[in-house]
Amino acid sequence: MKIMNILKYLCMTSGIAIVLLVPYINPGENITIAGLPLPIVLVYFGAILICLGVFFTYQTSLKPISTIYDN
Amino acid sequence: MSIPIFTIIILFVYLFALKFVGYYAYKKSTHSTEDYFLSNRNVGTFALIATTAASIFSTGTVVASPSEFYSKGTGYFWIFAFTLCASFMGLLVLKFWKLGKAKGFVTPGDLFKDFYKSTPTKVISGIIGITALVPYAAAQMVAIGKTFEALTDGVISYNIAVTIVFFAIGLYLYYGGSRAVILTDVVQGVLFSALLLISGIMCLKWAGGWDSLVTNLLDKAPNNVKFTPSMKYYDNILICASFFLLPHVWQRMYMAKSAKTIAKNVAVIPIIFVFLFSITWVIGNSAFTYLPAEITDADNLLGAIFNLKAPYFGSFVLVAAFAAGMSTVDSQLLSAGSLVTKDLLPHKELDSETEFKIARFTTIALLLGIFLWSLTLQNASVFGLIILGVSLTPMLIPATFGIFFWKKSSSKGAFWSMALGLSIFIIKQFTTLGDMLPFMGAVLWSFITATLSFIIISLLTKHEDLDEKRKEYSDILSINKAVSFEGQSLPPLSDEDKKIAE
Repeated sequence: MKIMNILKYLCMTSGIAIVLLVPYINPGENITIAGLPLPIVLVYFGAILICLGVFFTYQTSLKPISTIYDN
Repeated sequence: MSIPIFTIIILFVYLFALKFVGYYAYKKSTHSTEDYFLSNRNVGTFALIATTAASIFSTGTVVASPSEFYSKGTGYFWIFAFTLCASFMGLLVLKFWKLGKAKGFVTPGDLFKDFYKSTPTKVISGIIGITALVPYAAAQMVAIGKTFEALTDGVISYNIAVTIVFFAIGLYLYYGGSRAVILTDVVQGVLFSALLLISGIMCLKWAGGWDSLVTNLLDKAPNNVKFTPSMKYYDNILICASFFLLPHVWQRMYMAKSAKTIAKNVAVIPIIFVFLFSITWVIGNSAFTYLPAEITDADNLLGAIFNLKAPYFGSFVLVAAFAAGMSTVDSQLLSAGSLVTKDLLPHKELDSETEFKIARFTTIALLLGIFLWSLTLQNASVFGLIILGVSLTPMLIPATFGIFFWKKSSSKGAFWSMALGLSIFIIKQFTTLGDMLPFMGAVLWSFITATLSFIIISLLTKHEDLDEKRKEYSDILSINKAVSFEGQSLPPLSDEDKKIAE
């Protein structure tokens, strides 16, 4: 649970930071992943990190609280 | 058989099937506003995920999103910040559900009124909600009308298409209420997701595979892969983060059968979101490979692709657009109806049957109004209408979070935060005075105004009168008392639960 809590904050903050800062990331046109320029791939990566953060939030807080609310 | 005729037949088969679903819902429904608007708060996990997804993913996803990726490229990439919506939802949704169940809330305004003990706050939140929902709902009708016209080569005109949608939605909305909406949302959500996935695979194949798609994109639209920093990007991110404050999405949290249902909903929605929008990226950008010329009205992109490549399958794409649009517009209308009935109409003590009749009449009257407005919007941008609607949600953030996370929030702070936020939005968006507010868009200006006025006015006015409410809410939401609140025996809390409670 402790590891998941750390991962939750890590994924959430890094995902949000990437999504917010990506317009300012301009590494040039040479760096590509799957043919796409890096900033485009970073947006996807940021979005997936936020999804992971939400998943860890579910595991660490939403799920246990909802279990108690439902009982 | 000609393609337009085939399209029309497929569509009517689909609408006929929907009527069956609506009729089934009608048989199950009871005559009360709680059942009409919230399905008696008994919606299970799969249905809740499907109806939330179907309400969020509209024609904006099926029609406007490929067009936006095609015409704006990275200028539309802020849409992936939508995942932020789930992280904000995670902070509030269980609280919404628990309070909604304990206190019988139907609209967001019910929560504002109960906590802030202020009818004006409820009314202004209702006005913001309706103002947000009306252009958004109209956008759905416009998108369906445009796609219909494009895919039938104009055999069915925009006006006739919009009229078909009006009757199709009106019938099941009148009889079935939220039960019909949820049941049809499940069917429509699964259907349009599947059709979107198939469309994405087909478009990727027509583009000659991934490498060819990317090469053509880089060659023909190099600006579509470059980011240009602008404040508009942050305007839109704010919209994404607060999207769940739209009344029709908020009310989904009241509908849930259990807290677990809500929790699962929050976990799954962002994954579905990234998946579906990635598909629309593929569809939109594949057009650079095989469409001969640039499209003048980007909203017709989907119609143009399938008219060229697979005209018969285009009929099914139209069904997908129909499904996406109808599943959103019905939820929005129902929600708008509830806002008028519960938040805006002067309230006397009405019996359940009379209140139900008013609710149903209001919902249908709103549908009629939006239908008539949509007839004049053929040249409007679908995406522009959607953005206009959702731009209003950020101004609800301060008053909503203030209920749970700030002990000095006051009634006057909540009211003026919404009123001033709305005023600044209108000034910036629609008047020339807006030029006096530079650097940022209407969304950021209204959000900053709402936040500052909420903080300043709350600090300057009396907030102690809400202390009793804070305690009551804390009692209802506390994990320890949540169990005893239901009148059941209290099991001992584990150490982990105690930590969460703290």
